[in-house]
Amino acid sequence: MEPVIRVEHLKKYFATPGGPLHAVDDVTFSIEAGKTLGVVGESGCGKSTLGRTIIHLHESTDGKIFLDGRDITRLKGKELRQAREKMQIIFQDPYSSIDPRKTISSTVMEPLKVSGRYSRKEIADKTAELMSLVGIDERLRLAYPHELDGGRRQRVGIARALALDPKFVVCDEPVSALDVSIQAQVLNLLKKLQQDKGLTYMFVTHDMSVVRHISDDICVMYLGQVVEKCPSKELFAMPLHPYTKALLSAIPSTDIDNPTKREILKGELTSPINPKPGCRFAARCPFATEACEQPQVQEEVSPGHFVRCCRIREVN
Amino acid sequence: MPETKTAAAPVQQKAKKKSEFMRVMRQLSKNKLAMVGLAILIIEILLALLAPYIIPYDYAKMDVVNAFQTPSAAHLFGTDDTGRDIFSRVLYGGRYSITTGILAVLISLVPGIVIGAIAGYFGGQVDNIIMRILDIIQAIPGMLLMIVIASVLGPGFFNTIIALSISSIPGSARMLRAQMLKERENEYIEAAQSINCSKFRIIFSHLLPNCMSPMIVSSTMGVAQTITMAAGLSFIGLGIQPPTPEWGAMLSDARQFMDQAPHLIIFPGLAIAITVLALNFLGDGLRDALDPKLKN
Amino acid sequence: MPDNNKTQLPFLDIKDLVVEYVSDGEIVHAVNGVDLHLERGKTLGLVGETGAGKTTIAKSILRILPDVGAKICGGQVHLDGENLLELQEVDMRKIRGNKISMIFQDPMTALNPVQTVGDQIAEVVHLHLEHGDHTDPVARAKEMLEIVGIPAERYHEYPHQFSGGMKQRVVIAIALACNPDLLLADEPTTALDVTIQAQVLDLIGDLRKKYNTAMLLITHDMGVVAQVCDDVAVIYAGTILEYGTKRQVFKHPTHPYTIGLFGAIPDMNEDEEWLHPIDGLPPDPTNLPKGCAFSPRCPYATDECRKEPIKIYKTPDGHDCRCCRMGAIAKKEG
Repeated sequence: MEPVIRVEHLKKYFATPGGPLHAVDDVTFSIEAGKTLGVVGESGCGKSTLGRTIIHLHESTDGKIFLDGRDITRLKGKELRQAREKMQIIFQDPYSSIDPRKTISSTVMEPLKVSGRYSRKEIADKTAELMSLVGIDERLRLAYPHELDGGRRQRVGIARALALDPKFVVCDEPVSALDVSIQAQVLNLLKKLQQDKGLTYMFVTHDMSVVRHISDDICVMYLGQVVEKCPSKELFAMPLHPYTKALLSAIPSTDIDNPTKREILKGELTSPINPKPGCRFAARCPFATEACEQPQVQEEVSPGHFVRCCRIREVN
Repeated sequence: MPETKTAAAPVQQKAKKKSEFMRVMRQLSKNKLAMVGLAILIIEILLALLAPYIIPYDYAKMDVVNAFQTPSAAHLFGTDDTGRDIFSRVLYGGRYSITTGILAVLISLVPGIVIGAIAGYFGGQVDNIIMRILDIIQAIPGMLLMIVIASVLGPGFFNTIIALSISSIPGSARMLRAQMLKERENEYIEAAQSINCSKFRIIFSHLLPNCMSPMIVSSTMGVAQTITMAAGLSFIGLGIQPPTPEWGAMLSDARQFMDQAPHLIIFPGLAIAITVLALNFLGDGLRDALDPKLKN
Repeated sequence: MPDNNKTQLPFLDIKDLVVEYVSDGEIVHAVNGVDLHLERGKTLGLVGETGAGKTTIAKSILRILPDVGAKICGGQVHLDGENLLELQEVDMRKIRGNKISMIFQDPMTALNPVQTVGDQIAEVVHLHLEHGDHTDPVARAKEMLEIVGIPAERYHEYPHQFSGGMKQRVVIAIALACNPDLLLADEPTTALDVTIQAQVLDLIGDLRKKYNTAMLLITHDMGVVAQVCDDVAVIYAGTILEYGTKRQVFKHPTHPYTIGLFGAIPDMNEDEEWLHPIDGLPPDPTNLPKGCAFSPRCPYATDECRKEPIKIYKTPDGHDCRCCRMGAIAKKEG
């Protein structure tokens, strides 16, 4: 079956005074219909840029993006608008991602209005339907965003993203700004919508417990590159890349009897501007050798489990 | 909210539009200062309109014998250096000063907003080019620029307004641009892109409404500045021509007599101050009423 | 461990603290009768959601609530036997930064962008020099930088030249420069990435051990609490709902809110199709329910819960729980 989204060697560089910033560097993956790909990594690793590049909020520098098998990398004008309706995004910050001067219903109905395909009556009906779908009370139709709490605002963002019946939704840290009890409500909603509508998600987050819960496959990104990609369960059971291991061990566990044995990484993310050709994690990696200064290739170590590390056999 | 759940779509739409306008008006009416400002403006405008019927003396009639009279029952505000009745001149002058001030600011807002919005939204080279052009215009002293424009257009009421508004375009464009640059960083702009909003829609439906607060405040201040600038123009014979009275011109004429006859400067000065104060009250109230966050 | 010899009170003892804000003519009941205590060298975790009143408590201890609109309406905050709420502002100023320091959540805004990081540390040292104390603030600032793992050569750099984790280290250096007895850490790692969070938590832990500093750690992250704290207080709508040692609260969570909070976190070891969110929303702090603040969201609530404020009960393992249906719930949960 043709995957809904496939990206090949996708690159997104930003021009900065110091040279090109490699936000996304040679990323390849595909997501099948109804599945969720989790993308994890620390801030500045390019995970949000990756999502935004796929749905054409940024123009890609190089590589290809396929939607339903069709190359959409360089679409323009009307074709781009049509493709975009199939790909939507839910943003991290429920406070800044909704226009503060528009009522809830006008935010939700805006995609319908802009598409120009619906009559006024259809727009009103669909808006009401969307609002009940995401669980926003009809009475809040004329409320303004500041009158709503973070969880409800995020529901508004979800309703707006689903207005045009997309196939693929980029969820860019949709629950990071929410409290735990509300976070669970929104995660359940996202999962239910996925089941009911057969949505395909790319779920960007830094929260490992959330990504483990919601994803089928997981990509771990470090400075613009995917260092490890495999099915969700396998990643947690058998992380292979030294960075993944460190990342998993850094999560504070709520199990007080079995505190995780933590490997504390030295240093911080190096600059993504004009990176050296070798492994980008080498500077912080406890296993780094000279071989790591060469460009690293992505290797399939077992079916469906990809790692970008030349010392993987020695490390494990 | 008044309407019921089952109302048909168009009705809902209309109800929403109406309620939005009503909401702003209701908010505004709750603001006492704004209402005071509005009342003062309405009274001033009425007085100016009815001036020909209420002024006790001809505003241009000189009466050298009665020059420099201090305020009295005969001359409420006293008389000026040529014996003209200041009360009549202030009332009549309101017609020109208020219209010049408000109109010039309103006219300058339109190109100011368009230029500022384009520079602020598109950024990069477009922004660079526009800003450099504005730099050049602003490098010319404001007065000089107005003199040039006014002398090209010739003296007269409307030409004065045009000259005044052109010279205040760069200021409002700059302010809107700065506001736009800040506002467009918000994710709701990306959200608008992702749902296929056109650039036009993003700028005018999303960005502008969120950028207008400081514009409204600075515009009300701008009116005061414009009234005094208009005076400068008439002073050098390019603005509204004497003997037509005008507050700014009255101020500058009276400057030389400030020591002997302060009332010459006090009354037109008060008129300007009161107008500006009223506009500021109204502007502040309007800004708050337009902001849904400041409900209640 | 140096014992408190002045009085019988614990090192930090908060009794019945009540704080209100006035906003738009409405009274926001931010903190409603909070009791907390903390000994030297220990860490108390204050866990709760946005708006539960965590930060307000910390700011009340330091007395840095905004002058307009906020009011400490009652209660006592004893530090080392001295009631901070009765002190003159002059005396309070000597305590801030010297005896008590605070680490704020956002390292990006906690530093002055136009002053070098070294000078910012030195300033704090300088401000708290006693008469006759000849400590060189600059030397002390350099020493602090080294202690938090930043080379002293970076003394003359500005905050923008530092990454988020480094900035938080600088904030920690400022907070610890005067060897405070009490550290108030308000979500110190929330803005940081996990690997950096691990570094910073370790750093705070090491330094506290070294100087025997007591810490009130404010967080919403149960994992961080599990890793760092000795005692835990769970706060909801300005009221402590459950209070005990970490082991008691984590092993035998008793209040339905605490149980719900643990249940809502996706499990790292088990697969579950659906999460168990707590239904509903936190109550409006201007209009709190009469009885238990959690009762509108509580699946076990009865009329008894809604009638009047709930008092504190002792759980079987001896920790505090503000729930009158505790026994019944324990039976139901098995």
